[in-house]
Order: sequence, then structure tokens, then C-alpha cells
Amino acid sequence: MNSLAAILALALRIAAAVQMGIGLVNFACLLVIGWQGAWRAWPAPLREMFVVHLVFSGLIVLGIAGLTIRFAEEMAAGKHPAGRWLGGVAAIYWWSRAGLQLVYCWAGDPSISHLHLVLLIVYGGIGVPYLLVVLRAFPATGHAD
Amino acid sequence: MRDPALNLVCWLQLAAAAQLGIAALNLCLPRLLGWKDDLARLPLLIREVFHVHAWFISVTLVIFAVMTWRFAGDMASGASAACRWLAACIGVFWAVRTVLQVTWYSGSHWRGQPGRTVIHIALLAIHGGFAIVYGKAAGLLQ
Repeated sequence: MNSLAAILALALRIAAAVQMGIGLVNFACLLVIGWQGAWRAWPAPLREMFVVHLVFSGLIVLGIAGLTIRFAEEMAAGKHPAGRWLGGVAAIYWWSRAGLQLVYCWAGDPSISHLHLVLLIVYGGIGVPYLLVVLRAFPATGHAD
Repeated sequence: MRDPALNLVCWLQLAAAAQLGIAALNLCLPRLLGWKDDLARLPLLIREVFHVHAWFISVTLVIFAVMTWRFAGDMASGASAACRWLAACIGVFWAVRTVLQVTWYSGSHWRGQPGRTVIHIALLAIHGGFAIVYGKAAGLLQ
């Protein structure tokens, strides 16, 4: 593995570690933000779906993180199309999350701008190594499958 | 007799198409289930988190569908470790979803209402079916 691929593999592992943290915080979202009281007062179907979405958002992020840690070298080396596609979809996932933070969350509630800014940087930053995984496929072949 | 791997490719492609449908439905759930007023009463931050989660569940299902369609052959053949792991992750996602359908959602939503009972059973079968198909592709089920 060349030095560029080694650096990219390290960046992918760091992104995966951050995602693991986000996934775990997501599971505890109700506790962390102190919403349990309000949550109990919601209509039952809404309350149940909210928790299901919380669980699955956490699982998805942990899944991306797990795959990234397991296949960081392969992704960084750009050897397998599945690694490049995983990089592509993960970049889309995190950059659309960052975009939504900017245009939906920040615009909707500008009173906590510092939190929006931190999340924007974290989400956007996670997407960078994944984009590099995709971009690495192009110089060698002129195209990517 | 058909090749089992080819059969599994067909099931994976069917699962991919179904997940696209679920992704679209998921975005319309508040309207379909009449939650717009309930959602409007929630505090702003909670409402935003609800919408963001709903949006990303749909984005994820589209990603599952696209990856499955693109790599159905590799998943079915079991030749690629990355595709086996991907299938395992998607399979676990749907297995947990199946368990939650039974253990988390209150039976009061569907009990005594034939239409809703059919939907509940259909969701259970679809989610469980996804878990089985991806579990087979991952080599977790024989």
C-alpha cells in the first residue's frame, strides 16, 4: 500500500470512529437532550416511530462505520468496485446530512448556531475521506464502474 | 433446475425494488397516517429531528436498493467479502426491524381492525423476507 492509500485508510478509520460516537449518541438521543418527559406525552404511534427511527439511524451509522473499519485498506486502495460504491454512498449520506443541517435545521432554528456549525463541520468532514475513495478510482481508469 | 445463485439474484433485485417503494412510502407516512397536526404541535427541535430521521431512513433504503441492484450478482455468489459484509449489515437491519414490528409497536394499532392487521402481517412478512434474503446472501443462513 502506498503512503497516500495509507493516509486515506487512516482518515477512513478516524471517520468511522467519529461515526461510532454519533451512532451511540443517537441511541441515547432522548436521554441526552432530556426529551423523555415531552416524548411520553406524544401520541403512541408517533412516539413508537420516533424511537424506531432513532434506533435505525444509529444502526445505519454503526453499519457504515463497521464496514469502513473492516474494509478501510481495500477502500483506500480502490481495488474493489464495492469499496468505491460504499465510499460514494457514504459521501452522499453524510453530505446530504450536512446540507440538511444547513438548509433545514440551521435555517429553522438559528438560536443554536454554534451547535449547527459544529455538526455541519463534523458531518461534512466525515464525507471527505469517502469522496476521496471515489475520486481515487478516476485517475487510473478514466472512469469508475 | 435453476441455479440457486441466480435465484438469489432475483430475490435480491426484488428486495431492492421493494426497498425503493418503502423509501418513498416512508416520506409520505405523516400524511398517510394523519400525523401532520400531531407533528405541528411538537417543539421545533424535536419536529426537525423527526423529519431528518425520516428523510435519512429513506435515503438509506435507497442506498440499500442501489447497492443491492448493482452488486446482486456478487452478493449471491458470495465471492466478495465486501459484498458479504454489506449483505450481513442490511440483513441485520431488517432482522431488527422485524423484531421491533412485533415487540415495540403496540398491538392496539391493529388488533380488531382487519385492514390494519393485514398491513401489520404484510410488513412482518416483507421485513422478515428481506432479513432472510440478505442473510442467505451473507452466508448467515443456509
